[in-house]
Amino acid sequence: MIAFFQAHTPLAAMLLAGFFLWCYIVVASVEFGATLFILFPKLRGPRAVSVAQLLSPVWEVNNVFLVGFFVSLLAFFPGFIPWFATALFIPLSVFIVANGVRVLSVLIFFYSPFERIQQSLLARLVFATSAYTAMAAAAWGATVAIIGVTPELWLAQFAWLLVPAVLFALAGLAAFAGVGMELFGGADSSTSPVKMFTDFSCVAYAASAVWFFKMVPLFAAHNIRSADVLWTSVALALALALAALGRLARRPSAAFFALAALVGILIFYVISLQYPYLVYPFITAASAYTATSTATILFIVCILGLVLVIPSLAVLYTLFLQKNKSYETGNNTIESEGNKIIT
Amino acid sequence: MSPDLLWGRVLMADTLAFHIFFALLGVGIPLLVSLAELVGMVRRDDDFLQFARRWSFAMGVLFVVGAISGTVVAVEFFMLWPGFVAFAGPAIGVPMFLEVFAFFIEAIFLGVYMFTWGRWGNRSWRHWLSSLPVVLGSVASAFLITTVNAFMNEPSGIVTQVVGGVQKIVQVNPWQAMFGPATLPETSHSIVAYYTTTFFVAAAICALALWRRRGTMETNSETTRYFSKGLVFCLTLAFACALVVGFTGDASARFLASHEPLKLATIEQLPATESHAPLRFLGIRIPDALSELVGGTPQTVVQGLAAFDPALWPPSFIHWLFDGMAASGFFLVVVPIVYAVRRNWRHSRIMFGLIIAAALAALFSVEAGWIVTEVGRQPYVVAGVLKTAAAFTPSAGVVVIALVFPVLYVVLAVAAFWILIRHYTHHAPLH
Repeated sequence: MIAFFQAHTPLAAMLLAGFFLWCYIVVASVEFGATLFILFPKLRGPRAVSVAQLLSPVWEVNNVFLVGFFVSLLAFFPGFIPWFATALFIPLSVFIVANGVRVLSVLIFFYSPFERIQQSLLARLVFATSAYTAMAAAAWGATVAIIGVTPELWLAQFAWLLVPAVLFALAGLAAFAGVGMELFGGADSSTSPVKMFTDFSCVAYAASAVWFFKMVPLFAAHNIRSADVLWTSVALALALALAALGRLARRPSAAFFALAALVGILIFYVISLQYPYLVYPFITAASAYTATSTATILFIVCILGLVLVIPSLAVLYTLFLQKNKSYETGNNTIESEGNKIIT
Repeated sequence: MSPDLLWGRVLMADTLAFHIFFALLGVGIPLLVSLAELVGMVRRDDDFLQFARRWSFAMGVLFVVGAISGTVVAVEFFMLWPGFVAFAGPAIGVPMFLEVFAFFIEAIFLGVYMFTWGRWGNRSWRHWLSSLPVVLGSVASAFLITTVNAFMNEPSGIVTQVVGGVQKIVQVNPWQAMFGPATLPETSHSIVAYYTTTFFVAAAICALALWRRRGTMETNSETTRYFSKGLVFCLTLAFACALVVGFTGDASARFLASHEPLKLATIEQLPATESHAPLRFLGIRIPDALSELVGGTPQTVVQGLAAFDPALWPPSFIHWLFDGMAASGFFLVVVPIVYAVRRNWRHSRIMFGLIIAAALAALFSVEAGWIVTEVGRQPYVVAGVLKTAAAFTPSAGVVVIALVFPVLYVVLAVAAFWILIRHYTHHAPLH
């Protein structure tokens, strides 16, 4: 077992990066989904306060998962970074700008007293748009990173071949966000934001499927292994769509955890399928891997760090779920304060 | 220097200057808030509890902006300097990865702390305890990231070799790389400077509030008492930290003499290697002082610029920034002493003005200190091993983001301060 682990530590490191990405997708899609409640405030209903209160602490932690994904790539695979940086230059730039605007919106909606701005359609539209652009750029970047597209391919005339993969990723996220809103936001699947997500994910799945079937021979001619990865991801993403649309016996919590598991399977399966390559056929995980002494310390740090972080996260989410319960039953006088942080 | 590289360096400088401002407050405010709440509970003083609660709002707002600017710094590492990450990854991977967990703890408990005021009663040790992970997480983040910078200034624990025309680390001891000779002087000096600056900024805000109340009906009100207590509390902390910064600054200068002599020669504009080296401070030449400071005796030989290849000399303007930083350091020690000694000045415009000037000087000295550290290492990104130009990205489009990102920083900074000013001017302390 130990010998097997030693021989495959690059795979373990890839899966660890995937774990951070998975956590980011789970928490961020819920948060992004709930921004629709800000865009359509009249649709929030009796649990309006709980939506905002639940999101406030969550988003503080969300970006750390994404930073964790980036830093695990940096720490474990420094040799991959020149490729990664070149391939992701545009999505990373878009992500930074969109996330900056999103943070500005968060400041205005959660910390400021400017109610007139908060109520304006433009401000709400900017918030939702920046949140989705950040999510799209992250999905775009993650897709590029996970399927290991070469910078040459990315920058060359075949760059558009990534479109179906990105659409699939977005469709999965949209479906996930919709179910997350049902669970955390208290909306039911017939309300407009959730329905909008479902409709969007169906259209995106259909568009990407058409595109994919039309273009896959060309893609396969240039990069067979990545095409295999794409095929697998398509199958799993379709399962994701079916699960989201079926809503698993109309129980949001069951659907949410099932979708989270499916997204995890999607990421981890694609990573393991690609192994031993990071970028086929140019970079193997072993060739981009860090020094053995560094990797050993990184794994120990990771285990100890997760021992600290997982219970802390549990405390955070438990506290806020309890807090929201009291808001729902009207037992908390702060309810009238809406989504503001009062000091 | 190619135009793209110049734009890349300008962008990185903009990003770091913006991030450092929010990061230093992100490190300092958690300690300020935690200490104020502790004092409030021990002394059963509601003014201190309210001080902590009011400052926790600023902590949240500044953390939001600091978190995004920190994310941008991390992402720009990849985007602009892939050659640096590819080279130094095996050495800097451990502190970078540890920092993720420190950041996690800080972000998680910041949420817990901010949203649980009053949840367990007015004075709750449980609530105060939740501030400790925020304090520890923020200081750990600062420490770990600064160890990366210390490695860049004085790389250790690595064996390098040119493989296929590219400089690579072929052997690494990650702990030695992390705890190199520059780590202790650099981390201690910068972290204590962050605390000093935060305490002076908090003191300046109290001073400003008192200044505005001078000559009004509110002179003897509970609000005035609240701000007066806050001012004394912050100035006391700031004074203690400013003294420590003086000692750590002295240790840092001695470290430069022994490990980064070219940077010291540039900072002091010392033309030739000599004993009895003079110190040039704000245009004044003090004979023998540099030799005294470096080695304790006037006979100590200090290396001058002539001992190094002129192509490797860093820009000379860092001399003035260093002098400005050192002068600010003296000023920061003097202001609290004046406040303590001249009792009849305590509620005067002069005193309030001095305290506000001290806060601005503290902010300047942190920014100037980082510019001296970073520019003083040029043309290298990892001193003596990897040149900045060799680490730069080949990607096109750097000019575009170098023009767009700073606009975003300005908008974010303006929004954050607008919200803070608006909040505090409309929410006076409650009694």
